[in-house]
Amino acid sequence: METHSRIPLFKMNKLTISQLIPRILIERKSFLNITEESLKEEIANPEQESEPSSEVPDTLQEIDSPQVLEDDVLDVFQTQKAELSKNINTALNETSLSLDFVSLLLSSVKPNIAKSTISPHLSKSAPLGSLNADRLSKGEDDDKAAHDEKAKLSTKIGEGWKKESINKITTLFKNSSTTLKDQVLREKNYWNMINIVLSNDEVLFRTRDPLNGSRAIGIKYGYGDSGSNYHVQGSAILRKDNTTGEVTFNPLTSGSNRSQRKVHKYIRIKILSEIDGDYMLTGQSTFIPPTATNSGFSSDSPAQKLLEEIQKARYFLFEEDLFYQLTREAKTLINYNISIISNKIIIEINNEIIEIESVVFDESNEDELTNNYQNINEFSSMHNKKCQLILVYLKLMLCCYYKYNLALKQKIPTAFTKKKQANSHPLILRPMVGNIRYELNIQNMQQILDKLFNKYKKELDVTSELEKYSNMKADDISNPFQKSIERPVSNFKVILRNHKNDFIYKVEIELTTNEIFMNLIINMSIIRFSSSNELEKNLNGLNVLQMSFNDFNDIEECLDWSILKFVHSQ
Amino acid sequence: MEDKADTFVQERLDSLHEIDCKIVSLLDDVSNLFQTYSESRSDPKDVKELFSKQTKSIYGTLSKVAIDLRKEVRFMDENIGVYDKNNDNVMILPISVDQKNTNLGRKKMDEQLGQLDKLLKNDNNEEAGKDE
Repeated sequence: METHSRIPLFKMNKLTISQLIPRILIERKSFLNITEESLKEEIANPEQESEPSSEVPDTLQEIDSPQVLEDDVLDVFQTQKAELSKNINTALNETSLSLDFVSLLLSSVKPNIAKSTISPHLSKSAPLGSLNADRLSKGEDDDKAAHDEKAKLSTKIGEGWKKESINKITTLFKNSSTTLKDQVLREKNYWNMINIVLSNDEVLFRTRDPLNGSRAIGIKYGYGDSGSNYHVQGSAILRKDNTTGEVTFNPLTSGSNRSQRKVHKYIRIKILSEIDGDYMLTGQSTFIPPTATNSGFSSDSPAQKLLEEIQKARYFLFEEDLFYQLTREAKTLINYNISIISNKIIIEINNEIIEIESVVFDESNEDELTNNYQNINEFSSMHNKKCQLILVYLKLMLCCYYKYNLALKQKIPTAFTKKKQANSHPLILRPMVGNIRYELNIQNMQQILDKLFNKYKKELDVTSELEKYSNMKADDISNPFQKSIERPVSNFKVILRNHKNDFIYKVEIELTTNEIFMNLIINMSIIRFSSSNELEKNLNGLNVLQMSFNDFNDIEECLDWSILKFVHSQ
Repeated sequence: MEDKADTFVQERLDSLHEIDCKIVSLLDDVSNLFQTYSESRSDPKDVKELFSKQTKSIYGTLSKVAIDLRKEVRFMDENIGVYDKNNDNVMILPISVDQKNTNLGRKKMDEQLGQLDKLLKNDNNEEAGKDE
């Protein structure tokens, strides 16, 4: 018995609360009817009560062997473990529920955070923001008077805010209206000026400003569309001045020198003549300013200034183009005493030097533009007009080239026109120099003939006539420019009659050039007739000689020789 | 104003400018409206009257702007592809065409020919002078 009772006691002390409480519950059944008295009674005579309590374990003990006791410990452990996990689960559930609730409370203030944290179940059953919470203030609730005061104060503040914002709106509207009014005026200015430019027969186009990529209106002021193939096509942007709305003219330049200020250059022709073994300036062209557009505006109005600027840019673009084409031509003509030194083309011809110079335009230097200083005496200005004429000629030839190019472009493109277009090159310098040289050649030829005739004056009867430009009679060629670019042909017709035997030599000399105008080509034919009668009927002519030359010495020798033979012929 | 090219285009520009001005004046009107609303006046009746008057004017301008804009749109529509609807024979092309400035070469040539004429005429005059 002693051993029996000892074990439960030991066990009793070792019992945990979770084991103890159920055990008590089993022993006592219910706590409902417990009173103070009954408890006292119980303490007074524990025997009565303890009997059954000890009996239960006893019976258990009796059934259980020591083996069973170990099982019991394991069993208790298992139940305890299950209990623990159950409790943890409950706790977890509780906390997640309360967190969910917090999310719901939050949802009215910070819906995004709430949305991400709230459980789907709750969000389904209770819409977001349906519950709100306020911070509880401590202790002030009971002070009602103060509360009212505060409410009043806050409404006053609200009114103040309202008033303030209305004032703000008023001024905002006012300010934006004034700024917009300015802008409207600017727009008006801008469009009016654009319209003025447009009505001045300029061509405008839509483009984008390369500076900032904004929409802009461009203007085609150059000759790119009318046949020029210069690399500057002549487009500009009409940019709006942001403060006044006035239009400014900004030529578009390709390549790197975009920011550089454009330097205007114009072409000046100078003639230097050899006088006493020295070359002296005898003529110079003047600068003829671009013709002012007759728009009827006052000269200092911005619109007029703009138009003038366009005009000026166009003028100088043309000069630039002309000089470019001239240098291109001059490059190939180095064999003919034409050289290029920096910005000068120098043509040496017949004791004269023609200089084509690209000069920087300086508005303030009027002396140079009108070359006042140079006209000091008659001598130094005798070729002024010639220079001017040369200049006009060069410009006209470039215009013609433009026209030709444009006509090519306007044709239906075929392989032929494309080829022509690709190979088209301006004839400006060559016709001019060529024609000058040609005139000289004719003179030279005439001189040679005269010399020879003088030499054989005694033996021969000479009649000679010269037909200049026989291929270009005024009636045949209606286009005056054709004369410039057509190969010139001149004929010398010489009849030599021998006093001795009345034999007649008919000498025909054709003076012409090749396509590039520079070379000298002389075709000579000599036909012999035995009498003047036969000459008239062109009968029984005998070809004596038919040759081509390109040098005056050769033809002189040849002529000399054949005339000598003719004179001594029997 | 003197800087004006008197054309159909200019007329359109002017009337568009007017519309612009009207739209901007709307802002002014709204600003005034708020001012009347916020200003404390002796007689609230006055305020009420002024308020309704200003509201009316705002709506008035709005409708005018709408009408004018519609007019301009009509002008534009009418002149697309036809040139005889206005005095200056301006035609709005139905498609966008890249315009080429092909006349410049011709102009320059005429200018140079003019110069040449002058030069040669001077020459003749001088010779005539010499002859005399």
